[in-house]
Amino acid sequence: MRIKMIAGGIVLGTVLMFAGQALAHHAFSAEFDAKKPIQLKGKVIKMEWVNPHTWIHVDVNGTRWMVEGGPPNSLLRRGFTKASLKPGTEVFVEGFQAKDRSNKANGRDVTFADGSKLFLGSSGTGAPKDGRDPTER
Amino acid sequence: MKHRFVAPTISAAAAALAVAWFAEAPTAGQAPAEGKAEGQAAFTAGRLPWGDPDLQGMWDTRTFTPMERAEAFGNREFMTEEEAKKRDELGLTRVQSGDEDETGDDLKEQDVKRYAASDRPDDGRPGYRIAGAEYNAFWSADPSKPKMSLRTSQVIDPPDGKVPPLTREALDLWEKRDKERLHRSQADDWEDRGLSERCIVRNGLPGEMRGDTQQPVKQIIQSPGYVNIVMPYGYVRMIPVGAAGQKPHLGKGVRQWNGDPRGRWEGDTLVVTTTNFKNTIKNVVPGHGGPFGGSDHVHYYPAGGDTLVLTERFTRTDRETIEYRYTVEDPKAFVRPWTTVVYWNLDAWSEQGKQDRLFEYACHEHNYGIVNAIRGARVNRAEAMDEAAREVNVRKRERAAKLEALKKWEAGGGK
Repeated sequence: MRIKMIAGGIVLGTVLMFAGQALAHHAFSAEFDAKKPIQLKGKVIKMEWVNPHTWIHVDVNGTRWMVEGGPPNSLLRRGFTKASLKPGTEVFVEGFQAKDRSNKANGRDVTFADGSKLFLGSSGTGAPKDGRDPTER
Repeated sequence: MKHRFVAPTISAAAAALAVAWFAEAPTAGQAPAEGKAEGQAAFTAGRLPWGDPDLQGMWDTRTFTPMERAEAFGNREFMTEEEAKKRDELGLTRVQSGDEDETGDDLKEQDVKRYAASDRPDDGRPGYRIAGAEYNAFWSADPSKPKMSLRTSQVIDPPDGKVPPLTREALDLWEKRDKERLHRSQADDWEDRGLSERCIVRNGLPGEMRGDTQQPVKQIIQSPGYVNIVMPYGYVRMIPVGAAGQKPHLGKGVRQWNGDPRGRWEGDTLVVTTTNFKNTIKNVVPGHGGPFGGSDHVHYYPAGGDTLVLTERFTRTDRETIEYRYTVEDPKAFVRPWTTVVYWNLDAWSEQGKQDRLFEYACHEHNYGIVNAIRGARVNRAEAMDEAAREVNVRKRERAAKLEALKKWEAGGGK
């Protein structure tokens, strides 16, 4: 609820302004299913640093999942480098499954095993508190 | 523990940015002299060895100036610093964030809120679209804030700061296109998807000359006889200048996605006239984009592109700034010509020596997206048909609004 309040006030206006501009390369609704939120826990196999989207390959209990991320340019500007997500890193991914029900998903949030969120520690991410860290309360 | 420090860090950063912004905002309030770029008199661009003015650099082309002017500003081209401050407080100058850590039903609630506050027509299925929240902001948004101008709108002509109404011809064409679209699913084949998803062009010209938050930078590289603009979505606009720029345009039968440009120098200003835009009428899902991004990435230019004449003016107004101005003339699409102005700024990231070229945009090679979309539509065609119909429905309302604008214009005697 608290998050919603933060988000509601600040974010609304800009989302509208940039609607259509800041979206991903493709129409989300054609590729992924908004009704299929998914959570994946596994180890990073590799990351494809390619346009129009990066893809993180994750081993989830012996099954390979492909998780779609943002384009390299914006990740680099966030301070994300090839060293940020090394093979073997344990991650928890939340996103939405592909409409064709293959083992693909978009990655909305990526969290490390210790609960810290990818990028949360870097400055200027604009990420609000997410309520998961007990020390935050 | 980390979390505790995030909020203060961000507020501090935001405050710093706000200060920087107002410091950087051009001294506005007065409109520049007609036809003269702001600051032009005070600055002379450097010269390249072969004598052309130097426009080279990595240019951050983002802007928070809205395309069209809010009613409240009337015919005012610039806002006061007070008004700018208010806009900033309202969050209208922040980079988009989808950082709300919510999934599933919560996203739907956000979606409803977004639509409630939006001037976009409701798609009639609240909660279904989660555009803007399906990715956390770190995936897509450059965290820095672009420099701001006090302009109230990008459109400076007509004087009301609004894109003029579409012609009846354009609206009829739009209707025809959507009727054809109704018989197809979201992705029966690749042509049902927009040009961007097919890695052809992003939004098309001139809209694409404005940077988005994912790929804000355009690089200008000059060579004798050419000004080359490296576009972040995988192609280069090669603009002939000098003798090559004097050559006649291609024959009418030759049409290109980004048209056929001819450049010339007027003092320090590069003037580019582009014609021969691709005629998009033939495609089932047409569109080279133009000034409008259509619904759901199916980009529509309101006419065929064959009568569009785009005139762009690039003026380096100081070392760090290019004033970018374009005029759209297309009697088949718009009831009158119109002109916009935005500012390009030297990219701070590149200025710090962190980047000297754009990351390769090899779009086709890893375009899993288009495959996933087509497969997705085949797995559940009924839903894909439904979704396509929904998109058409949204556009129906957009079209109705455009028709109203045209009627109003006609009623006012064409003013």
